[in-house]
Amino acid sequence: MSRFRNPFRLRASERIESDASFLRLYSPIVLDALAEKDKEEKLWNNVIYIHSSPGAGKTSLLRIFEPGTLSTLLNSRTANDHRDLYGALKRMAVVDDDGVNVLGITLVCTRNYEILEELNVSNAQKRRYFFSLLNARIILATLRSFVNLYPNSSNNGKALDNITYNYDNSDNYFNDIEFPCTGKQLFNWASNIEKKVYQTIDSFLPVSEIKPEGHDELFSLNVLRPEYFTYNGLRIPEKFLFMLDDCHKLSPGQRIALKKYVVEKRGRFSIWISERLEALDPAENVGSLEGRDYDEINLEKFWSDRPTKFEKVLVNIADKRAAISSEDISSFKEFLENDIQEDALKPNLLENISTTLLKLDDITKFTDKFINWIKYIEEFEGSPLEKAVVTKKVEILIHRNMRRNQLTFEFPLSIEELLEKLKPDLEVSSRLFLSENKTIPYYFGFQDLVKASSYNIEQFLGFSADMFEEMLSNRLSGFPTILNGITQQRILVDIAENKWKDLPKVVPYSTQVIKFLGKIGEECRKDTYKPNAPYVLGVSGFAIKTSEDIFSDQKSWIDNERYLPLLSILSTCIAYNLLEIKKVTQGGQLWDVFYLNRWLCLKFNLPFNYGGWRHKNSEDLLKWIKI
Amino acid sequence: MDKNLNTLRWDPYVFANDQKVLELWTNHFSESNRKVLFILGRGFDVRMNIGIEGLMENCPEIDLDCWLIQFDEGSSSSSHKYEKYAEENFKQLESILEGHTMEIKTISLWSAKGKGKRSRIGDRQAAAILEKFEQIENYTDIIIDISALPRGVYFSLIGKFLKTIDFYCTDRSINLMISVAENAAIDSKILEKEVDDDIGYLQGFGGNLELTSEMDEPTIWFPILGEDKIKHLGKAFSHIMPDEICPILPFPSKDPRRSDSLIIDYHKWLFDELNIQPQNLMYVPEQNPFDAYVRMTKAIRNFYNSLSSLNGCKVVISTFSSKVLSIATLLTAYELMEDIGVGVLNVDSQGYEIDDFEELKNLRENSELFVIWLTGEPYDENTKL
Repeated sequence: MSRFRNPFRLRASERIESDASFLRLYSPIVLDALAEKDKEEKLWNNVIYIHSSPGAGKTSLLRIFEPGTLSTLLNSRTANDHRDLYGALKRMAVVDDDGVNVLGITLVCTRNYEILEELNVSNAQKRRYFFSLLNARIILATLRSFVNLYPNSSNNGKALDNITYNYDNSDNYFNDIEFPCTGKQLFNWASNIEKKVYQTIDSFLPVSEIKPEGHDELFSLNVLRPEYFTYNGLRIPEKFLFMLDDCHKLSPGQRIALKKYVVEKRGRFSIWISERLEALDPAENVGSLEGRDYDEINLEKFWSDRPTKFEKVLVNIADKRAAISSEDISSFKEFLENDIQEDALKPNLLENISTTLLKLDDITKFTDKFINWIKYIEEFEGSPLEKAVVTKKVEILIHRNMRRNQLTFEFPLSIEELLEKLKPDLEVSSRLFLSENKTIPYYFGFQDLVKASSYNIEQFLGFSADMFEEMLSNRLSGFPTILNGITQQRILVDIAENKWKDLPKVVPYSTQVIKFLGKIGEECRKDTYKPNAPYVLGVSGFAIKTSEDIFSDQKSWIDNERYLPLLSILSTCIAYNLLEIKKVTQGGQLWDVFYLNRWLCLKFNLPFNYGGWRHKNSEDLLKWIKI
Repeated sequence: MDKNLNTLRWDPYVFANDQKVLELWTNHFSESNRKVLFILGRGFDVRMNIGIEGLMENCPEIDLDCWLIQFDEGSSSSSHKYEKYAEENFKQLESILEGHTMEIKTISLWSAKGKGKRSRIGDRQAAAILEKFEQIENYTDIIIDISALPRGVYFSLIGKFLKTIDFYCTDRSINLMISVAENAAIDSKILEKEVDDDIGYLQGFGGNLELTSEMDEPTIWFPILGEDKIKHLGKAFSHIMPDEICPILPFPSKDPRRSDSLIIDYHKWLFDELNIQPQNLMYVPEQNPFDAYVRMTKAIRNFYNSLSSLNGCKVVISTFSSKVLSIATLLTAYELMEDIGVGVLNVDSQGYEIDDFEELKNLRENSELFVIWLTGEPYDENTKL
């Protein structure tokens, strides 16, 4: 196992070379999304779409089911690192003590399928090339999976000769090949088709010079069945699992053709299709389509519905990463301070208290109504932190009280009345207001790091990598490794600022997107930091209300052509994980609430809590994206 | 592969820069039987007309036709705000070419992919402007000026011209030259926006990289590093998923510390994220694409020969540096196209941001013109000097 200075910088599963290393870093809890489908008996002989934004762990999820990974796991199933994962896969009947029961066949879709649409041939012919390329590649991937499943049975060059494929070809899908045939013969047949189609895409010569073979059907999924294969007398896995990764790279027409085929033939094979949210139609992205005709796992949604589990996944991932560091810091979570260092921050806290008291003196100078409340603060006995928080709470309560229409006489309010109002729901706002000038940290501790990740593993690794780097620097400089709250907040905010600066480089329609997000952030801030803190959890999201005017045709904004630019910007924000959607029922109506990704909460100094959102008028939102 | 490591198509080569370009053109085009096709792109870049201006000033009697490639970047491109500068360049070109034929070839950089989505097709559209050999057979010389053309366009364009000339010119060859006006100060002031997510190998330079039947061969990636390209590099890496990376740094370079600065800039990415071994770093001269091509071609052949007992390897070259160096990658990929699968992966941006356009105009005069001569008389056995 290689060791890395900062293993948190090692990102996507594809970059972790060996199966053993991958398994060691993988958290079995991630499989829960599939285990639930298995319990519902929807995991096998079914079509499952796996959706998420980049970095949520789609490819890693699929990699677990590849034959190389499963064989490695099987060989070391009693090792401490692998026991849980083995157990999880055994429960899904993917493996058992006798071997691998599922042959995972992975095919990564590349851009060259989409390029077929640019060929100078009819649409029908383009579809035929698409099917033939996909058929050829699925067959090649299946043969490769066999070879990877039995790596020691023969040398690789001869491994294909050990495979026998016996299909009756009753549907005449195959030309120029007779059955039974060896794996090598089937490989050459598929390889020739692939090469011709690929040459058609890449060559400067016209299609007529190359004459590639086209197929009328996507038959490979149907004709690749365990019963048609033998491998040197060895046990053949009882299930084949086709895993098509990165399907967002297909053209919309190709995606529809693929979906139509697999949904129609559902039940005859197991296929998982992973794609980024950006592939979905904008209207699909904002969640307006109901009753999909396939099973779906949306990874971010899955975790956001199970936050405690997600935290466990991240603890697990962080510990596994730290364990392979070459720099002798073998833990992560325990080096993130979870509490404010009150002694170190005492001067800041005291200053905060006195500034707030001065402000209170100023706003209450024409009334005696709050004299007891202010006295309560002054005489409060507790640590500086407790006193600072209480001061902020009282400040909020005074603002709330002052905003009410006063029908009562201006008699001083009693301490009992104050204590009655000092409820826990003031906690979020008071802590946030306390940290507004950033001298007292608000974002710190492992739980906040989890929240800042917005249910995206790559985002978590991005934040953690810089935290771990700071730990390494501390260790190297002879300082304590542990990161205090101020340092953690500084790192998180710096990352958020850099991500914001990078937006023009990474997001399409960036000018509109940045303007839109900036405006949302500004509005959320305005609502969150109202002195009377009307939204106890802060505001970090919005729901769209269709504009109502006399010309309105009562259509939802999604169906209105006029709002297409808004739909595109929203869809882009969701696809690039800048906004998260949550369904919320309010007033008997189901709303799609768009929350800022939590790193944007860092940027706009908003709390990480979900729950605070406002209605926004579709017309106003449309104005926000105009440049 | 049996080819001798030292057998290279463009060695020796013809290359000129700065004042020598104008000397070369003046001498070469003084012959009366020359008929020239000059191809350039219409854009806002202040360097767009430097090549054609130099040629027309020094060879006023030249028999020349022009193809102007105009690209449709789509309605949402941030480059639209610079349209007035593109129009200024166009007007200047019209006056330079007074009395000559100018044909406008419009290509789309994008193809609609659904509501609000699109995919890049500029490479295929650019290559398609040359449909048949008959379009160019009457020209003795073709100059493709890439100063205002994006990488995603000129690679396949040059590739198509090279392939067509190689394939059809059996009795005599057409002189094919690439010209480019370089200016690092201008480059640094044109900031790229919205790095493409939709990336892939350029048409004609796929190098069989995406053939699943050959995916067992290890992939070696040679990225030529340039400033402020971390997002581009990240996207390219995720697409290629190479088994081995040999980052290429520009050295010797005008700024002798440039390669050191690049290592500092990319230290985290190179050594922490990708765990690259320092011995994998390569250096190529910044100002001479042919020297760079020789070094890259030899390195790739070496790699391939060393790995031949393990079924060889596939190679991807990407350029994140100057256009002059990008020509080196083009030549390398073209040279090795038949022998080794060498692909060219390009990562473009969807728009540009310029703070002060007037400043760019002031910098224009300091641009340096380069000419890279690819086919024709110098390489013809009968006329070789």
